[in-house]
Amino acid sequence: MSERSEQIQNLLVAGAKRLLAHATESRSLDSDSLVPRIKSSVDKYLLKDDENASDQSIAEFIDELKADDLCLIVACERGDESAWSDLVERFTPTVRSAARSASSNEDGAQDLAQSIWAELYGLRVRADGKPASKLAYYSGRGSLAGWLRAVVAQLAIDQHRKQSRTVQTEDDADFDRLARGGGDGKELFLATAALNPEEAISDKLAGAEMQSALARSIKELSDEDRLLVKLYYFDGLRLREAGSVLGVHEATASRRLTRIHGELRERVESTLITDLGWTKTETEGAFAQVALHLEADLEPLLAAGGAVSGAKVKARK
Amino acid sequence: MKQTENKQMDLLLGDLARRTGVRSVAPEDHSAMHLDADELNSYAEQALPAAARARYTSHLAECASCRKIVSELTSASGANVREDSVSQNTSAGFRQKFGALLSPSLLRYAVPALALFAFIAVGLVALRQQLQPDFVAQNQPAASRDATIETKPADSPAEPGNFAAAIEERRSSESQTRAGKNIETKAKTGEKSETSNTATPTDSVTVTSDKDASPGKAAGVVASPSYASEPAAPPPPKPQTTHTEARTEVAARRKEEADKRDEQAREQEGARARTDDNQNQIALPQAGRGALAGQSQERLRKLEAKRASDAGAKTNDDEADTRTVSGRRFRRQGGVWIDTAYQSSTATTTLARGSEQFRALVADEPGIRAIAAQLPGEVVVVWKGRAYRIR
Repeated sequence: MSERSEQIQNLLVAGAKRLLAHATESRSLDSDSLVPRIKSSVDKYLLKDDENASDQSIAEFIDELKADDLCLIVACERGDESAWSDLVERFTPTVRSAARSASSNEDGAQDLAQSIWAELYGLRVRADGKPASKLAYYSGRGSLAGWLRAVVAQLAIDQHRKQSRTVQTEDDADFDRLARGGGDGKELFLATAALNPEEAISDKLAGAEMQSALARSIKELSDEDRLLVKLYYFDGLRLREAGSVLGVHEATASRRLTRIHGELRERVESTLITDLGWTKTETEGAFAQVALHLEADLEPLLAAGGAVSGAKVKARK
Repeated sequence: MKQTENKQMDLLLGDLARRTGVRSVAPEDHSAMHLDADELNSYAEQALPAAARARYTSHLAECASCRKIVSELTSASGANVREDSVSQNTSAGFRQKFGALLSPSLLRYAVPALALFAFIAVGLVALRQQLQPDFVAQNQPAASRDATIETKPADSPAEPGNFAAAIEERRSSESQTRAGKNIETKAKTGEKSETSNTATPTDSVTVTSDKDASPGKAAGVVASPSYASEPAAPPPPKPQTTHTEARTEVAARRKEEADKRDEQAREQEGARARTDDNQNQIALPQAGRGALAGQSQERLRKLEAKRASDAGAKTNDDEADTRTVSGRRFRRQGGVWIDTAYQSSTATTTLARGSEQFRALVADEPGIRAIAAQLPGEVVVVWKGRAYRIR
């Protein structure tokens, strides 16, 4: 064992002892039972990005783990029945709530919740003969309740994926078709373009080129800016919610979004002028024209979207 | 301009999202590339080191499925964070709350408001102090106040703190000996008046004694001198002479009573003259209030005189309503002289004056004749167990 590994091991053992000391209920665990779990977490979230992380940062990372939740999960993994009882008793409401959020009806939610407990208990058996429990993936970095919600959400998506492979409702198909605008993304501009066919074709092309340039510009944004754009425009979150995902205040998110608008506009203009040979005036005129058309068509589009959404909800019921 | 550009870009981004968003949200079958539950939750709870977080941010910017879960988890964990922040706020120390009260943003409005309030309060106090003497001066001679004094002379708190209190103060400081003599005199007067049958001198002395005992009832002082200076109180002469003519039996006794009253009146007049003299000396230095007090005293004198005359008239009426004839008392009720021994159950014989029956009755009972002669009008007399109504 190298000196560094030995040093890290010592840090892990010391950290495990501190966690057990901090835990409200250590559930008869010793530091050796916790060290593998702690090591996995340190490797995954700390040493993977920084192999030479300082001892202090490693110790701080360990100290920030949820001691009680980690002890509970490790005890469950070790077959502690009282720990299992505690887990089920304490987190059944959380699992039910998450299952209801992820399911469209109560029956589905109950099925989902039962599936979660089966997954956690490890009814499936791995290749090495041990139960394939999802408990092994809990690192203790986040809360156990949050982790359980995430497990429920992932399981719900998996189930939805399996169902959607075989069945796709007509409403869903209609909605996708409407949202995609027929697939090429140009009908919107054509529908509201000027009566002159030449102008209509011109607008159509301009709109398509702008959309293409915009899509490329978004990809060039930083990860955080791109995530903010996706959360706000593509996922339909409010600024406050999007800011929460990024860990910033709503006002900060708003300022950041305004800055992103400016950056994107510059990038789009640059693309249109440099790559496509547009003039500055043409670019500005195209922006104004496209925006005008979009503004005019927003209401009917929203109304149509609302109608389709209503039909979709009805079909689910 | 900037706003317009922002709006244009906003519309373009929204349109792009509508075209492509649903496709990217649709579940994709590359679960191996998705973040696991622990990563998603750690990201949502902001529990990751910066480097790991940046790694996952890159994935989330591209993966709608993971982004959706993270958004939901953030929403759930964000509620917890808000609750924590609220509980922290509620457990914030008194120092923080006090500091917030003294924050410049609050003081900016509070200080001018307090200054304005203080200014208004001072103004109101000053205005009230100015108005108070006027209020007393205007109300002192008012009819309603007089009426109050008239009805409740001893209990009335009218003008307690002004000249009456000053009289008391001056009296105590200037002439204690003299006041003592006055008190003695009044006490003597009181003793004498207690023996008297008339009510008015007794009232006067009682009020004066109260005033001497407590300055709070000094309003009575105002009443007593005005009452004392009124000489008309004692004997009601006219009715008495009329009665003397009418009732020869009680004439001698009435005369004795009248003599007694005259004697008492002379004594009281002497005592009140001294009291007036004393009060005039006290009232002189009070220039502004003197005139007022004079008016008030004059008015009170009139009122007391009226009251005294009313009382005298009432006494005369009482005497006129009740008469004793031939050893029998008669009370006048509704113009009919009724024997006080008469009861409604008594058998009654009605007679007319000058009738045959009347003449026969008075011939047998000369006492009834005397009664009928002295009492005019209708008379009901009980005689030997029988009532006679003589009309």
